[in-house]
Amino acid sequence: MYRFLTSNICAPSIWSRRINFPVVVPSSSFHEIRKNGYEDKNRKKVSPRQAIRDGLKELKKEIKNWTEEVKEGCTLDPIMGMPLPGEVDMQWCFNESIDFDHWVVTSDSDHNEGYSTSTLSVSPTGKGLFSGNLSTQLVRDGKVKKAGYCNFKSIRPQKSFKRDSFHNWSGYTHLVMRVRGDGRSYMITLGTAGYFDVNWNDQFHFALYTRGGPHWQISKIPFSKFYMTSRGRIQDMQEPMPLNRITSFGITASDKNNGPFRLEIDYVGLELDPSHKETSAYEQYKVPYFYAGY
Amino acid sequence: MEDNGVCPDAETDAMVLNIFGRHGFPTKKLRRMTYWMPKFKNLSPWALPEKIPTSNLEVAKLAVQRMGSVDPATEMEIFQTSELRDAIDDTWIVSGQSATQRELLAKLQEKKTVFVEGAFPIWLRRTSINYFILRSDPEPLSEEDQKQRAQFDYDDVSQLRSWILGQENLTRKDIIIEPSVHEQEDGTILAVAVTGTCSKDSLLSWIRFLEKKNPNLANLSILFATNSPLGEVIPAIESSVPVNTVKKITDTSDL
Repeated sequence: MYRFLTSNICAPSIWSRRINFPVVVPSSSFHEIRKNGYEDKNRKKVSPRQAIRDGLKELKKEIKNWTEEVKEGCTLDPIMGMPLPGEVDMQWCFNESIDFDHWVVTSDSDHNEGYSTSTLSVSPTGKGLFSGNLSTQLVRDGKVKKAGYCNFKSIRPQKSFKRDSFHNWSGYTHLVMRVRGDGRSYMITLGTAGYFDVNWNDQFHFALYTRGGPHWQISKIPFSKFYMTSRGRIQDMQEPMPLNRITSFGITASDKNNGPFRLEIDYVGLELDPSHKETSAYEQYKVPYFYAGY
Repeated sequence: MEDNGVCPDAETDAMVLNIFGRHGFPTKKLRRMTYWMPKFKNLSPWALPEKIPTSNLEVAKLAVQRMGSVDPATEMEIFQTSELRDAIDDTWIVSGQSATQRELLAKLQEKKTVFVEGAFPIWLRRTSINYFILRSDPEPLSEEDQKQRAQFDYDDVSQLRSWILGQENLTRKDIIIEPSVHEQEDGTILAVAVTGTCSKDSLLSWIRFLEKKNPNLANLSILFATNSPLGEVIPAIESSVPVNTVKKITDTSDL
């Protein structure tokens, strides 16, 4: 029912102007592709023998990681109660030593759906820099109706043996970022992929407004203000963000302005503000059954 | 409607309800828009008027106001280069400087270099305009401070002091003036300006106007930098022939 609704209703998505393509991928197998229709056609086919050999090469490293985890589990003190109020706990610090393997940068030109370009690099002042050129020019292939987005996001954290894990941000109330933008509005995307396939694309979005100018700004955004979307389509039933199951953090530039954009980021951190009691900023109304997207 | 930022009203809702019916996608879509759009409409901390003016001077005023909002003591001034005797361009200059920045300028030592850097773009909804800054290099930390910052360990518990035994805390007791918001790690921002023609001559005129309220500026050496740690620079126009106003509005529709 959820899939039916999302594929047939043109639910308004105020912030995301992604391209429409079929939600249900026609395939002969029952296996759902996590990459949502963007299949890598040029992927090299690896023979089973080679795949086993490649896997065994990783075994040593994974066993080492696993022993580290076991040791940590035995020795690490659990965080009792809540984090220190008023203190910003840094999650990602962008400086000269950015590990670019941990960040995925995409734009609509990756799959020939537009002409925007973007890069994540180190700025001249030694901070992270997300910059590029946004273009709303359409590709003339008859399928693309809207264009113009650039995005970078963190990869999903993994435990040993490539097991998918989460960021656990429970106890915090605010997301704190020190950025220097160019006056454009960006969108912060927090992925909270769930276990079931209908929840694989759950995300929480909010806008990052930048002042522009030569001064740095500190944006402190409460988690209660983030609204839930699925693949960018805003959902009718809103709920507070599951802070213990965050899979990714990303920033998108898609404000329909043709031209270069530039966002310098110093750090992304979390804060607990005990005076903030709101859980979700979006009040819910009673609607008839099967109206609202579930 | 949603592409152009038009919020639905009661009349549109009644029209759509009568045409398409209560249980149809258009009504549902419109009611979703009525719910969500007002929530996002006025979220930006730096409010802009509903219609951004088309004249460059008005856009420049908005830009300088926006950039100066970081310090409540910022004053915006508009100069005309025709007031100066040996200015080649005849243009307006919108300059923003606060009392704190003036004090910082006054404290700079003689012969210290300040840089005029630019032009950087700032976007105001759909329009972008270029601005210049006056920046001085950051104050280097003292040796002691540098060492302390490099070696500081938050989890170090080897030097805990106990008040029971009468030991005093190791924290420093000297009082320092809190650094202002303009003193950043990549430089101290001393002033911000937008000129009608983004030319070097207009920047020279700007410096001369600034000297009226910042007499210390005459003792400093001013460099017009072509690259800046603050980012990619759109170089100022060099020619001495007055150029038409450089307009950079990217989209004709204004939101």
